[in-house]
Amino acid sequence: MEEQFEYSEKVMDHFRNPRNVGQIKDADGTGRVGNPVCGDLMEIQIKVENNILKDVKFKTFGCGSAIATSSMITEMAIGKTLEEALKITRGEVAEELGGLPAIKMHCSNLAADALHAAIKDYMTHKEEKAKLEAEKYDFDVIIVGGGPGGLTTGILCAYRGLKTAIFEGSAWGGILSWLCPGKMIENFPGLCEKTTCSDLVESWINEAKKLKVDLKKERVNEITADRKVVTDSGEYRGKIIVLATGSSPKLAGLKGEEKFGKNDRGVYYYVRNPQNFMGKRVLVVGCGNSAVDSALSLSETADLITIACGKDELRTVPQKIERLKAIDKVKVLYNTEMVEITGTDKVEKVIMKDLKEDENIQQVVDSVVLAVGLTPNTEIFKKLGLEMDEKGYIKTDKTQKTNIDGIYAVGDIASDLQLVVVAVANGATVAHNAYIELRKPYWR
Amino acid sequence: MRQVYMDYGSASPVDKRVLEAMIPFFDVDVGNASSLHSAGRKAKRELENARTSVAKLIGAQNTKSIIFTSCATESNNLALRGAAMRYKDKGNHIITTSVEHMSVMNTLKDLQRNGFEVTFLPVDKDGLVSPEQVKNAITDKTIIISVMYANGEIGTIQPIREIGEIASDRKIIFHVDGTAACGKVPVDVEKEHIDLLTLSSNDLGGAKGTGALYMKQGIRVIPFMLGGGQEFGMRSGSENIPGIVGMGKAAEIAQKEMLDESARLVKLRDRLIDNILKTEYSYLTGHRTKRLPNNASFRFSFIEGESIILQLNDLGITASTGSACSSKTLEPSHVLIAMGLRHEEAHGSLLLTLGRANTQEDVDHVIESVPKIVSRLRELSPLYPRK
Ligand SMILES: Cc1cc2nc3c(=O)[nH]c(=O)nc-3n(C[C@H](O)[C@H](O)[C@H](O)COP(=O)(O)OP(=O)(O)OC[C@H]3O[C@@H](n4cnc5c(N)ncnc54)[C@H](O)[C@@H]3O)c2cc1C
Repeated sequence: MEEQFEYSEKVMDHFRNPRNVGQIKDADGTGRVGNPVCGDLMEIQIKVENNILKDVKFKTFGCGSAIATSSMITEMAIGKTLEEALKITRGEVAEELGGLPAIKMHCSNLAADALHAAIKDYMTHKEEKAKLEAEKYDFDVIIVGGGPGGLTTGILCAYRGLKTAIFEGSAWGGILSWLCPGKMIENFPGLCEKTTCSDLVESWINEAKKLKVDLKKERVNEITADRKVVTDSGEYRGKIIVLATGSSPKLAGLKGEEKFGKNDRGVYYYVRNPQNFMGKRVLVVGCGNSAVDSALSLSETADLITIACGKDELRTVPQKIERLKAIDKVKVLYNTEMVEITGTDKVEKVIMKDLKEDENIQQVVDSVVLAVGLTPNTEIFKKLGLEMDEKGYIKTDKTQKTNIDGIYAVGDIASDLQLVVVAVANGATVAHNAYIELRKPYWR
Repeated sequence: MRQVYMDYGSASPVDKRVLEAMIPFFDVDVGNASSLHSAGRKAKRELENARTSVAKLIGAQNTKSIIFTSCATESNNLALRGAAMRYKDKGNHIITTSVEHMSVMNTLKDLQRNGFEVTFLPVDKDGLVSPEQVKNAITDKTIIISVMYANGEIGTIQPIREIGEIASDRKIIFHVDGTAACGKVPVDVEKEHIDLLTLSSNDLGGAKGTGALYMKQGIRVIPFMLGGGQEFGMRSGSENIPGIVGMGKAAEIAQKEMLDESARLVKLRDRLIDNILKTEYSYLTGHRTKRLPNNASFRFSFIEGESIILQLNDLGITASTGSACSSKTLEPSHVLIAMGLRHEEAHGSLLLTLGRANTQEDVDHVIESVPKIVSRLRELSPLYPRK
């Protein structure tokens, strides 16, 4: 290239009519390079939106080329992403201006440096802001879900002196107080026989209140990886988040299920109040504990109870099988699959299939209880990238930690054994580990 | 648009009368002054006439004391290098100031590298050196004192006569760089005790390519241009007759017109200074009264000189700056720095040097333009304090 001694027309144009001169109010970043001592000082300010340079302005003390390069780079940078803008070199600025005299290439060609400095300033500010933001926590521990797992985790964390909140979207006490508030928990050692689900939940709530657990009746809509919990009424940050959202009854996906599933038209997923089934002919669908429990709870009120089980045995404890056998009005149809629920206004009839005989059978019923199992409440974690098993249950290690830092899971959502006592034990594990993580005691 | 040339200090137009006097010597009267034919003798005559004119301008008694050179830089080199070599047995110490022209600075620095000791005297905030300082710097080894008559960048005129007296008392050779001063202010080598005086033709209104060195009778220097022995052996090489004729003519005109022209320029200069200093954060550089009649030099805070020059150029005004951006070395003017200005202050310098063609209208155009440009550039400057 021939050596240049004079300013190009383009340099003179930018010198005479500098573009984007000035300062930006509330600039996102400022870059100052050079030094009046060496004859050139440039200040570039930027406004960033969605990683894009929305505005770039400059002020320059210096010679013609210093002013022209500053002006030029503002034009080159506006509209570019930060990454693209960081790639603009001194050479490109000079080229864009139709070249610069050789002697000016160094000291008066600082515009790219000033722009880069402004972007870096913006980035450090952003980092600092993020860091400050990251240090602002509302709670030590935030628990999502107020069932047995959530409530007991909350109690045990608060007992350890951690500032704790529990968010519950529907009823305190979880699936138990929703499906079977009057049920007695026989497999929770130490409770006297008269203790019902609601009694248990009530005592947990009292205990939590005494320990100043913040009980928030808000549904959580989203959880972010930086441990923010978002509800309709606000955002809360926790140093540790515990997922305790449990599960909900599964839909059976039957013909007629949707039609009769609402407004008390005969299809139910649980027996909340046995009194409502007084004198009814009820079909309970399912082979597991909840099907058996439903059948047993109906024994006092329903007229006829049929259990339709797709397998050739029921999955429950022997005591319950004995109890079932002792009730005359309970009939169990093994190897029987549901086909359809029919009726005009309300449930009138069910069509089932005898798998052994390979023939359809019909039965007249008033109500159908679909106890076909539970499905985990994981909708709100979809974006979080949590590791789950194929059924949608969250994977944890022994300390109940998930794959995401600072996020734990307890209870039904995280265990194979879906029992109250297990949920409570998970709570104890989390409280212990949260305490270690947050308080870093000398003994660890 | 009005075109205003105010950079006479960098280069001056050749006076029409000078040009006319020179022209025949390019194609008609082309004889060599060393030749014996009539053309040669004519050249020789003109050469001696020019010598006489230059000698008269500076009050030199003997015309033989004028040696023509190719420029002031050569004259400074010849004076300093030549005298240092000639008198090195007497001593090796040279005294000068820190505001000299680069041809003095660099020649002395070179001598410094070759065993001479050089004292660069500091100057005050107006660029003045005092006779006291010179006196105190003298040692028994001092052989040369070199002080410029006036500084072209800041206009300051040095106390030459007082320094000359000191030098003459102590029998030390006194060299004066008279480039910026000769033809603007009266210079008298006798009264001012000057032994060696540098002159430039262009600064007198002659053409570029010719200079002269006054060398007091009795003082000899060692020449470095050796050859046919022209110019009394001090500067060999065929004489540049057109250039020398021009310089002679320019000296003659200067002698006749200097007083009136200087008085006219002083008025214009003062009008510039008084009005431009009304701009906020603007300062005069150099001494307010001990000042060349054609020099108005300033500095403006928060802005840079090259930008000022380019913007003035767009308004038809040609001027100069001492800013680093406009120099080959990217260093600001050593003169401004020697006066105690900080680098960033020196960058904002503007030098207006007036000459024969300038009128009051020119001056008023500049007075109107400068504040506009200064405030425009300040709008761009990150250093300018917002109100
Ligand atoms: C019919 C039936 C009978 C059972 N009987 C027994 C028994 O006898 N003994 C036994 O040990 N276990 C029994 N279980 C199992 C036991 O109920 C569970 O193991 C236990 O409830 C698990 O508690 P959890 O806190 O993990 O979940 P859950 O009890 O399901 O509680 C989860 C809570 O989280 C809330 N939640 C979900 N999503 C959100 C959200 N986005 N924002 C806010 N809150 C949210 C829900 O509203 C719910 O209250 C039975 C289960 C059923 C269905």
